[in-house]
Amino acid sequence: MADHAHPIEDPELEADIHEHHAPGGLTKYLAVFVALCVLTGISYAVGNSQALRENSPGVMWAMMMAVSCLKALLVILCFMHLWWEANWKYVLTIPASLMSLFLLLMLVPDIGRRIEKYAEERWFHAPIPQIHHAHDHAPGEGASHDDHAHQSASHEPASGAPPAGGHREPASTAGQDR
Amino acid sequence: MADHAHNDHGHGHLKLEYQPSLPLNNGKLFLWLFLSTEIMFFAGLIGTYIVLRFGAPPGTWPTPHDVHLVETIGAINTFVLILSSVTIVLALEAARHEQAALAKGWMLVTFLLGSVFLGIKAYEYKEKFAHGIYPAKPRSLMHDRANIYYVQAVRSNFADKRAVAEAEKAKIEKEKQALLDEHVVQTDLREQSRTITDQQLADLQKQIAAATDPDAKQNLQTQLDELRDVRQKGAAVTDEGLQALLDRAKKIDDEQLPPVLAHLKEIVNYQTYLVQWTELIAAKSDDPIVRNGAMEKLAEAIYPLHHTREQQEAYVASLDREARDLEIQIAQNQQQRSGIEAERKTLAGDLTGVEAQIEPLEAEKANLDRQLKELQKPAEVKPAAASANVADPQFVAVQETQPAQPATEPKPDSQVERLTAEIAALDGQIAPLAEMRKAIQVKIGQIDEGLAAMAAGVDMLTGRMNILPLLKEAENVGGDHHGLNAHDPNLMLPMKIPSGNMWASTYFLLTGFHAIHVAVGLIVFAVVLLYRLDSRRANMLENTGLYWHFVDLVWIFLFPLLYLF
Repeated sequence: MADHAHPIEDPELEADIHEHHAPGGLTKYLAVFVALCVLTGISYAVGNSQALRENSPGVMWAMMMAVSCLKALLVILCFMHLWWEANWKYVLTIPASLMSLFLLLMLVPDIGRRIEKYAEERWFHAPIPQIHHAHDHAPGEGASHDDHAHQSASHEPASGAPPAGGHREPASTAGQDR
Repeated sequence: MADHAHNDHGHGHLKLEYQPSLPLNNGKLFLWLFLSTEIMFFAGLIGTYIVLRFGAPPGTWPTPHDVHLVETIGAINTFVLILSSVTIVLALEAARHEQAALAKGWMLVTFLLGSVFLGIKAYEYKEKFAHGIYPAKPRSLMHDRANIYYVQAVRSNFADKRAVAEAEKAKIEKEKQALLDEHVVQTDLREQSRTITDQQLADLQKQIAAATDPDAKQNLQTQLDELRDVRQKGAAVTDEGLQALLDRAKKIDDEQLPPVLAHLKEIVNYQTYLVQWTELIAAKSDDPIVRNGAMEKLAEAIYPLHHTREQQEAYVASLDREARDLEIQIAQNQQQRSGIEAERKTLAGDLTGVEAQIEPLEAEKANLDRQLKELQKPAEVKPAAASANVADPQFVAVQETQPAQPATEPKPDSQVERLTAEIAALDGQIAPLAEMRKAIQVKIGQIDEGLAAMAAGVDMLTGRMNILPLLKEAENVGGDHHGLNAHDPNLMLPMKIPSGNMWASTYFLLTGFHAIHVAVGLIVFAVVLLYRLDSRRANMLENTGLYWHFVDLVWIFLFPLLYLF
């Protein structure tokens, strides 16, 4: 250990540690704990908000990710004491975070946007969304005609070439998300 | 070190101040290096999940409820991990303040909270497996589309279930047969033993005594033993014993067999009116829309992905429409059938008319045949040609067209000739009538075939109509769980969950790696708990804490991504 090898440096380091951690204590940790619980509650509420999910799922996802990042920061800075560490912390955390982000971005063109490059045949085996009767059922319509309308919707994605870009948002997905 | 070296040599060089190492101990340094690789590792996993999820064909990623994921359980697990993060920090604080017992207490709490997390995770996994959600085939019951492969999977699933049920039925019936056989054997034994008299035994005894040849003696002795054995066993057979056998057989009939038969009937019902019905439409319809619609309907009946009450009600309404449709079809079928049956009746009337014409003619012909036979009797000694004449009236007619033969007869009998001519004339009358009769019979046969097919069609339609209420009941509008799979958990039929297998792969990979990290954390806790946790162990405790906070950190991202997105 560095401590034993360099007794000269020891008092300084010890003093450092005490200086940084002494003001912490129980109240600080409990405050962070409460904050984490509240943030979890927020993301739970956001995730279960039917209105948000139906109207603007993008906002919902962004909010939940923001909350997660905030929670992560709280844990890293407070529980993992990174706030009080010397500058070495940047050497380890920043490159790792940047590389992670880079990794994620590199996955997007080939995997994230894969269905844009699907061949016509590929669509015959691709998953298709569940179609609900609510979309096609018009009261008073004849049974056979009605069934027809219902199934034509389900058939559409299967029946051939996805129109360029058009496949990203078929009309039938409107009521998909719960 | 450097300082000492310089002093020892006493060269008086310029004194250099080296930074010996980073201002943190080696253990912490290496742990942070390890954590930075872990950041990369989980970033890769989470990033892959995100691109797979958002890159999936629109509307196909299953919602948490579609795959039996409960947000509340995820939230509880989040809380448990956050709490454990606090307790491990408190353990570190206690250790720094030399409160070893308190530190150990907090560590123990941390360990327990980690175990709770793993326990909840295990429960969640069990729930997935119980619903046929596995990361891969062959165990996974999830299908991306309701296509012919899906229908095939459902069919073979029912076929397996049916085989099991048939085997069960055969086993029970075998048991019952064994009891009845035993009853017959015992009754026989008793009858046999009753025929053996004391006198018989005494006689045998005497014969044995009288026998001189040892072999014969041995034989007789065996015979005697056998008789005694039969008597003894027969005496042991009681009316109660026999009745008990019958009772047990009856009990099997009454209690064991009915549920198995009912189960079998249920399976056959599903097989026919759910699967076969779909297959018939999928195979026969020219319209791809109708074909796909039928298969979608099968998938919807088994595992509907209905998220709102409106969707459930719309589905039930579609079942009602189908029932109405079927009713109309059945009525039409019956109307058609009554029309055809009327036609058949007319034809049957025609047939009786023709038969009424034919019958007297045939009777007359038979009469003439008999006369001819009488006349030819003495001629029977003559060459085989004559006897062939008598053998078959048909032949007589043919013979008539060959006048050469009677001419060759030595003494042509005028009466035979006259009779043969008369028979031929009758045959001429009968032939067109017989043809007419045959035509009518063929027509009736065709109609009967058509009627049988129609009756089978009505059976199918009726069966389908009768299964619709069951599907409606399984939909459980307003309830929690929907579809046949939820209605009868024993069914476990293949489900259509678009992108379900992709979801399962990512879910099990992410949560699995996280759970492995939790398990490793628990092992480390167990080791740490062996020590006295005072300030000398503060570094060890701090490093353990860093690792555990990282595990918490990963879950902070996994919870919304998996349970709430």
